[in-house]
Amino acid sequence: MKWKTVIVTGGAGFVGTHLVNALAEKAERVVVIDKVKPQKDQKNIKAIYKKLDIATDDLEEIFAKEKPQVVFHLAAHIDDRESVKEPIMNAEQNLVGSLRVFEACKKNLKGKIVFASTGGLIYGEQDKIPVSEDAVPRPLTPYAVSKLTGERYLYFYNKIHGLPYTAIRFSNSYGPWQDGSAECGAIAIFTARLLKGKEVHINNDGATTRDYVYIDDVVNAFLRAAESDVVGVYNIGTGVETSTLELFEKICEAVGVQASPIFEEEIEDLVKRSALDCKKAKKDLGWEPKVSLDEGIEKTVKWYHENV
Amino acid sequence: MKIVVTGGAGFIGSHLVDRLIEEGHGVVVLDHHQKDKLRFPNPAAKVYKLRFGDPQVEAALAKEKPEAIFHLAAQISVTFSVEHPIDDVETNIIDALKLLEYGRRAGVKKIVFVSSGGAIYGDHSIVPTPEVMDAKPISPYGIHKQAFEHYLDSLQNSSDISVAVLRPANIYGPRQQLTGGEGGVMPIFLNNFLNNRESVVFGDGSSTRDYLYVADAVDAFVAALDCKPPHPVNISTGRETSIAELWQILTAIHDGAALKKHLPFRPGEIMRSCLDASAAETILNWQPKTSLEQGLRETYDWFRSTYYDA
Repeated sequence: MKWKTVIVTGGAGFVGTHLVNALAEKAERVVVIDKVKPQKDQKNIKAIYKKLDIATDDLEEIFAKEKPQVVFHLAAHIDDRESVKEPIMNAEQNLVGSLRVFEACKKNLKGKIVFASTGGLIYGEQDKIPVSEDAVPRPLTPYAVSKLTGERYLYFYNKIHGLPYTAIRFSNSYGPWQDGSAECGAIAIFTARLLKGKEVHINNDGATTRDYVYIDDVVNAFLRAAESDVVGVYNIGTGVETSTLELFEKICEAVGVQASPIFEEEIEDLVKRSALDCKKAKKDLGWEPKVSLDEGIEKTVKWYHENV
Repeated sequence: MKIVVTGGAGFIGSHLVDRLIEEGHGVVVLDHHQKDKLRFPNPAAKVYKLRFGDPQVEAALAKEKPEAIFHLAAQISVTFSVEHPIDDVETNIIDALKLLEYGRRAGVKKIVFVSSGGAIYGDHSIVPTPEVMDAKPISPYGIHKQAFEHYLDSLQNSSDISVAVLRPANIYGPRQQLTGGEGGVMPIFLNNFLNNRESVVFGDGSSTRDYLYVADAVDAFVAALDCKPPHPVNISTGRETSIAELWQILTAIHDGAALKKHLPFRPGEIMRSCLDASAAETILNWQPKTSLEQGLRETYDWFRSTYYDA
């Protein structure tokens, strides 16, 4: 086993579930902190689940008791659109919550913290796409602000308290277990609706592009970051832009249906184009995406078909 | 125009309130009158003795219906923010976001936020430092200032509220508190002069700051009221003054003994701090008018009559 004890905050979420499954093979003890209990079929029998809210519950006690060698900090309020309406709630979860995790790490973590940041939204609208880590960030929503600010706090904890960190700025992740009924996660939503024969709504003209990265590749990046000594922020994506319309067509093909989307002009997309330049992750972490979008969609559709 | 000023009874806030009242605005002050700090309430302003994040602020703003808010109040100690980052973010982000929400509900159309040049740029490699947006502040204090700038940007994108963010240099002048804040070494020196105490200079006195007289800063704040700057704007002189120069000017003003000793630089000490002032000139049509000698003379006289002769 690589590690004795690791802590995963937000381990009952989409990315967390996959990460915990991977960590169960690499750590003797995987402790999950999440404010919600995992769904039964998402629970890993080798992991220990603690129902705690990072923004309010005592974290010192569990960190002091577990003395983790790595902390993966994923717990967050991740609904970008909701964060615009509820910036205070978002900041309480993502800023106060993260600082409480970092404070607990300061005293009880001997190793590294790996922070789930965001690659899609931290950069905002950029002239140069794919965008690299040295671009000036332009976060446009409270959610994006909270992630950038979390990274900046980690920089402070590293410089002043010597806490090593890696922040993973990953793009739009997708795969099995992503909630197809939620607001975000186009692939999950489209797949779930198409499989049920429901109509699919697309914002504006479907030309908005995103960088879709398969969940296994994201998890691999978290593991490599935890194993490496490098400190700093890393883009994790494919570097490929895919428009919402293209994505829709790919999923239709994988599902095996012919359908037309309904175009809606409801919400303006603050970021029209997005893709991440991931050369730094390749160089420092030896990480590259392995799953193509077509392959990933196929796996995802197969999973939804069998499980939902 | 009806204007709310948070921290409007403090050092910088009270100068701003005086000016706004002089110009005929209706001014409402939110200031909780922290003990151990001098307060300078203007009798023509309506004062609510509240912290800006207090729940009663919602009712106060709903009643007053201001058009604009100047947000100056904050937890201002960098040292405190390093030791207590959670408390710092609770006050300076969470409570400040509440203020924005109360303001939005009360129909506020304009927010002027006083951020910080020095705390955000730190020891930046470019001096004078222009309005860079990817600076890496080393203190939670600088981080929260940067974060709140972004929150305001987001608010501006999602509402009809117009925002101006100002990043001032080291503001000094009459009514400055004896301790704390971003004023730096000046009040400490003056206090030592007037009490015949020895002053400590860290290093050889070569570290620099950009000292801006409070009346000039207020000119810029007022100019920002009618302006929608495309990005945060430095408010500064663009001139570096070393501790040694500052010492020289102050001792020339002071007609008594001035004692000092030198100690080694403290770890993390910022060696050079000076903000490029050119954007303020273009965007706000603003320039500082007061020379350092003039400003220090005014400040010295005020310190003397307030803290010493009294």
